Amino acid sequence: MIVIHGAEVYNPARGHAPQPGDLWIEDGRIITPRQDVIPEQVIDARGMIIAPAGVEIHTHVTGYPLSLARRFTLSEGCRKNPLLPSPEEAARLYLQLGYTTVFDAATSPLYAFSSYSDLRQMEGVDRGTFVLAGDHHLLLQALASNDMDYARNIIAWLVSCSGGYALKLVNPGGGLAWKNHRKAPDLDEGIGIGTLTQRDVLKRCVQAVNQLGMPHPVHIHAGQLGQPGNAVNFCNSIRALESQRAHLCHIQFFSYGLDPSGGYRSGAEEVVRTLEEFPQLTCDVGQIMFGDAMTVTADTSALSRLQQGLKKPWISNQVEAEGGNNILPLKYAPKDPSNAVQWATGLELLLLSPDPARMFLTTDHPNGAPFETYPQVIELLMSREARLEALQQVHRAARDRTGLAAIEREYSLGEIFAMTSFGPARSLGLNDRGHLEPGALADIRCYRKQADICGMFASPEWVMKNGRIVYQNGRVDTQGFGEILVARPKWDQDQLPHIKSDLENRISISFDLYALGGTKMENTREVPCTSTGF
Amino acid sequence: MAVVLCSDLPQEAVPAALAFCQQHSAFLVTDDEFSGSILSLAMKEAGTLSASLGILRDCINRVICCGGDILQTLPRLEKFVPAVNAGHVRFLEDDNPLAALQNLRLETGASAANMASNLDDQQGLVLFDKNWLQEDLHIAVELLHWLADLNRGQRWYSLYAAPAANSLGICNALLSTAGCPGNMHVSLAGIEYDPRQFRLHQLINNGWVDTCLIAGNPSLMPAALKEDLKKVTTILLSPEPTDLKPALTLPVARAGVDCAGTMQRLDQVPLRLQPLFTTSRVPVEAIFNSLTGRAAV
Repeated sequence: MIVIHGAEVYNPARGHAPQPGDLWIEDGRIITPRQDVIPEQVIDARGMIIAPAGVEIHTHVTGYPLSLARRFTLSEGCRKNPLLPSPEEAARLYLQLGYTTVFDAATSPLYAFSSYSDLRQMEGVDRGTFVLAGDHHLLLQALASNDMDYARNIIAWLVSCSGGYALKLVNPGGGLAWKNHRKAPDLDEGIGIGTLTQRDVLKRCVQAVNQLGMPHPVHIHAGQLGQPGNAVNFCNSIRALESQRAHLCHIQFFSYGLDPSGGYRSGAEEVVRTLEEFPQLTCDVGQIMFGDAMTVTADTSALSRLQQGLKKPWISNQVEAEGGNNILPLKYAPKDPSNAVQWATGLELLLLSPDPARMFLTTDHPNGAPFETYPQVIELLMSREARLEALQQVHRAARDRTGLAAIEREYSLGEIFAMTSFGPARSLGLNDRGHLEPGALADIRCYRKQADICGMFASPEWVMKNGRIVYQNGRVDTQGFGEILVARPKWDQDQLPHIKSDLENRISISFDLYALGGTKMENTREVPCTSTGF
Repeated sequence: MAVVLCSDLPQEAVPAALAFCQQHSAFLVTDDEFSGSILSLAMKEAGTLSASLGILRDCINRVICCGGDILQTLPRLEKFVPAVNAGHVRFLEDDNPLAALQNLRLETGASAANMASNLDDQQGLVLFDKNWLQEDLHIAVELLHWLADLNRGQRWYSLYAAPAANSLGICNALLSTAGCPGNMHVSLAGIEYDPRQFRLHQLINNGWVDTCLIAGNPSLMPAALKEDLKKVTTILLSPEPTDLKPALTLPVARAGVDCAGTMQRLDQVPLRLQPLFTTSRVPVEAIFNSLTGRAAV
């Protein structure tokens, strides 16, 4: 039994204010304080802040696309690559930031074994991955014929056979359009399969996944990523979900108004207002920070458009029955008006959103910035002074075309923990973490209280996973910790011959080898598909 | 010490070999620098557009082969690219590949498109092999720039026909775990990548290594390099005898025969191979893990 004594305890399940009191831990979980027992270990945490460990809901650290991306970073000499750490390094870096649960946001079924190989290396953290299906021909055919029973079975089978945790949609139909030399469909435009539109795909997939009771709802990357004026389409996409539970990812990239010059202006206010009408939705922001980034996306339509504008080398690998693996190096520059508006729009979204347990901090690593910049973003959220100072350093478009300068709100520590722990855990259906109630995993981060917000969040005093300290004094101990989290929604095994015959005509690989090819995954924990929403 | 990873190994060998190299502060190279550093550096310069075989099967109506005998090395390609069967194949002479590519790039975009076809719905495939990835990088970069030129008007995919069964799998596994595709020095201080200095013949002839641990069958290794290997002590972890004369040979299992293992297809789709039967031989990663564990004790 362990007692953490004397800290200021933030438990987001009980609001945003800190509470005094000791935290008791037994067998890796929080327990109700005991009066009748002398604990084996007392951790003196006076002067410290205790909070549940961070939960990363959207990052890209595993799989074949990352191998492709690393080719762009090759250079002679010593290698220390903050943008594209190896999966093993990524796990260690997340632990050092106080995160103990990490979800990679995209794996194609065809390349699922590459993702699984990388996930196996990420010892120390609980981790998982989302399965791409927004261009999966088999699924789209079922949706087009409105055969929802078959669509549910396909989704359940795809997630299960790929070792995934949730379903991910990336600009549904966009990959299909690109392969056929058509422009990506708008929300109500046919995607080339019967009369099926992107709106149909969003609505029906969200419905199917919720009916399956999957712990995390559909993880949606909407259409028109990165286009000036796309906030209108994004708000329409939100409404298309018709009050069903879903998660919208890196929404900063979809929250732009159209400036009279044709460039970006912030659409954050409109997006936040629309989101407020649908309390069952959660979002992550995809904040950009200035410096090097690497675009890694399945959204070929969006990246080909960006590549044509920038005229820089890109790597694009189209995947059958799916979108693509697309890579383009980027640098976000503070003096670039577009980048400045993007930066300010992300902060505006976070600051305008009233509930930090529904709008989460991400950088869509490595698309917006490395995840190691989280402490810098947190400082900007907690300090208006820091924001105004930063605004002076960037192109004036950030002041003229966004509302950031006028926002007075400063996040409290409790709100930061709700945004980085409680909210994402709840959205992922992981009720055993993100809070410090009895029964929760003892995944805990501890900070020494200090005025330097960025410094504090960049350097936790220690981090605990399952009741054992895994990071302290610069040392990380990952051995024996962390599991691969999977969801295995129920599906009708009698449908397998049907799925097999439909898919075999569309793939270039034996059905028996598709996805994980029946490989038995090691070190997994199945999270039950019993979600009824929150 | 240098560890050489050969291209017939499954990708599971890579993390184990890296851990071993880190413990012994060793160099790590592959027997196929074409699929590793040279292709990677060319892609960094010029990018590339590719696709899985299912996409190519559905959309390719023209093929350009860079390398006269490339189709012989890919006998099942016609199953995935019907244009090969239909005879819509053009071969580029490779006596002087650089000149051939430069001439092509000098043509206008329209000429480049005409070279292939006048069809509006043209989608093509450029196949190339290691002969087009020369050591000075110029040809590889020129080749990929030419592909980018072709893609200004139409859709041209490329596929690299790697010289050995799992050249691409080893390369990708190294990129994933180490961040670079070979030619590296691995130590507790980190990884140093130097595609010019950290090549096996340089390491041997500069006297930087006195022992080479070769994992797999070095069938791609040039004869001159095999001569260089006589200057140092060699240890071989191979499923079968080779023409090397190592100081010590430890037979290991072969993925897909007597152990499981993951190899990558032409389009880098991972394929999980299962063993056909059981033998007493162990996978190469088990040997690396055992050596690492023993030294740690």
